[in-house]
Amino acid sequence: MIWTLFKKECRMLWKSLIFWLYILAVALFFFSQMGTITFEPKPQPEQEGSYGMKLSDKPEDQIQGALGNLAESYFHNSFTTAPIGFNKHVNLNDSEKQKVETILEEMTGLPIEDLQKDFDAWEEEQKVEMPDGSSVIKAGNYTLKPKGGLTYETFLKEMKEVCKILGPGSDFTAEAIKNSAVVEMTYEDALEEYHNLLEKDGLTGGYARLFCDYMGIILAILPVFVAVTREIRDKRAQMKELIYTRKASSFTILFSRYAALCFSMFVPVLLLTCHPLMECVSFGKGIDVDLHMSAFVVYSLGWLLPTILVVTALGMFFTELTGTAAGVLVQAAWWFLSLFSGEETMHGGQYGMNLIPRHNTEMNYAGFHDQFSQLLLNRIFYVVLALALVTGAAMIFEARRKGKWGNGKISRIRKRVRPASSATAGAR
Amino acid sequence: MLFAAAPLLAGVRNLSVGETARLLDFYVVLPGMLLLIPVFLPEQDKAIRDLIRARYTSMGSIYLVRIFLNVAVMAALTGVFLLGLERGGCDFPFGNYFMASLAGMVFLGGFGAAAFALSDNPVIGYMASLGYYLFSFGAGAKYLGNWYLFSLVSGSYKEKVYLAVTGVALLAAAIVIRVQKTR
Repeated sequence: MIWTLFKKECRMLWKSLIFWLYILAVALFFFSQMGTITFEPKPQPEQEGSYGMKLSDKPEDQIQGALGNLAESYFHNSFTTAPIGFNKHVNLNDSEKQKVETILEEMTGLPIEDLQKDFDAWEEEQKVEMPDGSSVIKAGNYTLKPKGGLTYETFLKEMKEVCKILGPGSDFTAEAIKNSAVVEMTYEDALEEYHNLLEKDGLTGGYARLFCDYMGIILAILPVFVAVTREIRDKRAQMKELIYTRKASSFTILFSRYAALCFSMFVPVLLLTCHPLMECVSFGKGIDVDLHMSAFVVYSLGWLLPTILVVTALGMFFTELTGTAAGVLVQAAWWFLSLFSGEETMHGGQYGMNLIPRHNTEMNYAGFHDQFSQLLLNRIFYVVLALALVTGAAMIFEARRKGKWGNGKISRIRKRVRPASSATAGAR
Repeated sequence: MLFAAAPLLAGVRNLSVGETARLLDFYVVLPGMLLLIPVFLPEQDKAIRDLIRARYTSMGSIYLVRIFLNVAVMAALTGVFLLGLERGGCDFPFGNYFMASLAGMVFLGGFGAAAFALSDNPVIGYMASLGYYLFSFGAGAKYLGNWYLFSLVSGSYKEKVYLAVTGVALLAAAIVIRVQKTR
């Protein structure tokens, strides 16, 4: 039963306009974002220009960067946070300012007046005189040395206090602090990344991560349209009554529909991976590398499929619940928030519980490896959530079938607004 | 509701010109889409459509009135929001930014409404608008040129004019297509 339904659903889906629009959008997005890969050559010892930047994982760098940032914000009396990726200025009242002052003094072992003098002096240094007499302030990172003997743990504890004062999205969360220690990569660093890409990633791994980074963005929103359209279709064709009388259980109906949707939407993604895979193969012929041929498929399954699963499930759930396209709006909001709040973590290795884990580089195998368990947790969570949502949708479907919850309306108290509809249905 | 959520999620006080532009370009443009796309939704049900068509007033003028009303609401809400920003100490050229925001909204709304009219499916309308938003986000100015959505951040108004004119044209086209299709 479930298999026949699955096949029927697939066939219906492959004939629908919105499914092909979905495929078009996915393909368009891929080719405009990732398209043809430019393979970086091996870094040379005396290269001109910089090798790129990296995040220093030395605690000293992080502490200095964060303390400097805190001091600068304190002296300018302007704290910026970005909870959803848009800048928000936070104003502190006097007692909060006092707290920050105390933290600064404790961390550096210096009274605030000394810190003020040091900061003013640094700002003077940053000023550049222009030919017309005006002065411009050079951008730079102010750093403050912590007092001797300050442990990383104490530092993090104090920074947590700062986070409580500033609210979410500040520069002083544990994640953001890591981001503030930006240093230049040395030749050795660059070489290590390059070797990681070839040896540990088998070349394909890195590009598979990049692929998942880009595709994750679009797969976190597009499937909801297909799912909602499919669910609403029954209502428009006024098929609900007919389906309700059939033998199949609600769970069978909805799960076969869900499986058909997710399967049909995932296959095009898999097919798209052939493109970068072939590019990797042809590039790999020229150099000595042991290609991991299955990388693209494995990464897509683990990274992208959960996104498709949960977005489709959400679409189905909200359409069953409200009988309208509200699922689109809910998902659009979630997508928007995930996208913009992920801007700080673009380089990968900081996945958190974001719906769209970012990793916008073929490098940074180290970051991926370190945070793999977090990523795994993230993806498993969304799979579980997806299954819960589909189950919920099936339960709502079943309730409506039994006559509870009115026909297509959440509240039975509302008067039937469209007597014309049932009259037409009756006349068919 | 979306407008009201802004102070909670993003910042609305003491924003610089660039930050305000970013907020308007990326966030504020979305409610416009919400108001304009469902313009044909009530008449989707065939029975209601027949009922309305039997009346003296033409379908086209009904849609036109509805669009005008929605745009008026959009303009009012945007105006109030911008006033709120200004009160909160944000620094930006009011008149220009107001027109710029409306341009973006009208375009996205028109684009979606046209897609709705062509496909007879509101979800495709939303998808088209969000798709355009996404495409602007990713591919950006390179592919879209004068029809790039997020030009305010780089201080350019030229694109906004293109967007506004195209938006109005799209809305008009949407009405015409809809009326023709459902004749």
